[in-house]
Amino acid sequence: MEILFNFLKSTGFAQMELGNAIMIVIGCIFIGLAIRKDYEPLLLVPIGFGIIVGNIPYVATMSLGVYDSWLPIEEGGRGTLQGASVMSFIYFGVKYGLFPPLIFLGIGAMTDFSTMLSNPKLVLLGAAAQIGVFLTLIGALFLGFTPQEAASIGIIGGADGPTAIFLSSQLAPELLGAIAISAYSYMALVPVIQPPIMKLLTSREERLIRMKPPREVSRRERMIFPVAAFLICALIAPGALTLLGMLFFGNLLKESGVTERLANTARTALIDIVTILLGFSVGASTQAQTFLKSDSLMIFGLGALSFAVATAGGLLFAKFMNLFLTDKINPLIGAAGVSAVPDSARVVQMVGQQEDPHNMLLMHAMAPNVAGVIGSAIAAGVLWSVLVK
Amino acid sequence: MSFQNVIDAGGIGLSVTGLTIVFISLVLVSLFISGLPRVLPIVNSILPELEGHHGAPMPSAASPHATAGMDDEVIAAIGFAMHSRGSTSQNST
Repeated sequence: MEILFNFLKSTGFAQMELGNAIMIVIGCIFIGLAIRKDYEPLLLVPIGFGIIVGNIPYVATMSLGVYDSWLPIEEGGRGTLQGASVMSFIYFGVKYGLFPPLIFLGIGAMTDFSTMLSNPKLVLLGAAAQIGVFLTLIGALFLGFTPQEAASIGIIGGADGPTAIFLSSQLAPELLGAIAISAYSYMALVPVIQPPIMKLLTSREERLIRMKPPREVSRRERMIFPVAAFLICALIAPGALTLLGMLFFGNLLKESGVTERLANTARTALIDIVTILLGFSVGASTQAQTFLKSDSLMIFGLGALSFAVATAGGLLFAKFMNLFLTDKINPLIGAAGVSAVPDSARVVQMVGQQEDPHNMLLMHAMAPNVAGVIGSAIAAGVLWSVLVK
Repeated sequence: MSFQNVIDAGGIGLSVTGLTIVFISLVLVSLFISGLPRVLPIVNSILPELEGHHGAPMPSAASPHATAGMDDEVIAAIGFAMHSRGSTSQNST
């Protein structure tokens, strides 16, 4: 009987706290949003289920959570690991920034830079949207975060989950869970956050602007670009070396035409495996005891602000460029400067087609979209270089 | 919660510098992309693009000559067949 009572005390029901229950409900909401609303299901399902897994209470002496980290102990001259859980091994890839570059490799292998190469001025929209990163950094400093924490929070505005995880793992590992969840939540909510801002900042006439179809880009251009762009960006901001190196390496695998097998693996199996591990372990890192804090709420608020500012920055810069251009650009594509690939480009297409169903903006929006990926990686590299302790 | 935190941490300078570096990097990338179509004809005249190289299956590294030889044989066979058919049809006309 005593054994039974001891067991009952060890169950999740007996140890459940209100915080755990709230987080489990949040996990279920994530899964519901993914399935019912189709919001970033590839991310929200692993993260949502990870949240549920990470919030099942267990006996403290059992190693089950992501924070039950490695304790190397010497026994008879042989190193052993004590206290490490399976979850902590998976979380290793997040904690030490291993997963983000691998995801960038896959993104590079699936990205076609042709529209950007055919209309290089659209690259500037990807730069303009990074204003969200730097204004949020100021906002976070204002709220009392340290510069390292503020930079990690600001990068949420880059709308690039892997970049946010990479930078916060280097500068503010204590905020990693909240930043990762915030970044991915807002990436999933791009179809909800962006359209009101897009409609607010543009007139109907601007939304109706039709752009010239992009010119044909030669294969040689597409092959030279990843090498040259990597050299330019990495020599200016070496902190972005890992992310941009993998992004452009993946793209070279795709465009070289002689490594199709490698490119295919990078953009299918590899990125899928890493996404599963990253999403699940990030979700599992949101244990209520470490996650439900006032800091997390502030990070969520700042994250929303940074997304909105980034979207507005891209839009307004597109309107500014139109003052000098004879071939006007549709300012809606400025919103795709936030690098949530390809969701923000899809949102541009959707909002554009609400005004004119025959206006195809998707291919044009992909240019600032992929430029935004490069821009946010450079921003992360700059912040890391300046703020590394 | 104070703007003094921003000033103490050099937040304004950090933000302006960071955004400027991002802009400079992407402007340089943009300039490079703009110039590339003008430079490529010169590059192509020095290093002509290999016809049919991309997209076509790569020849086996172990036996490149064997593959090339087979292509010649196939071309010769097709040529002979067409020549024969042409001769036959001329004769029948």
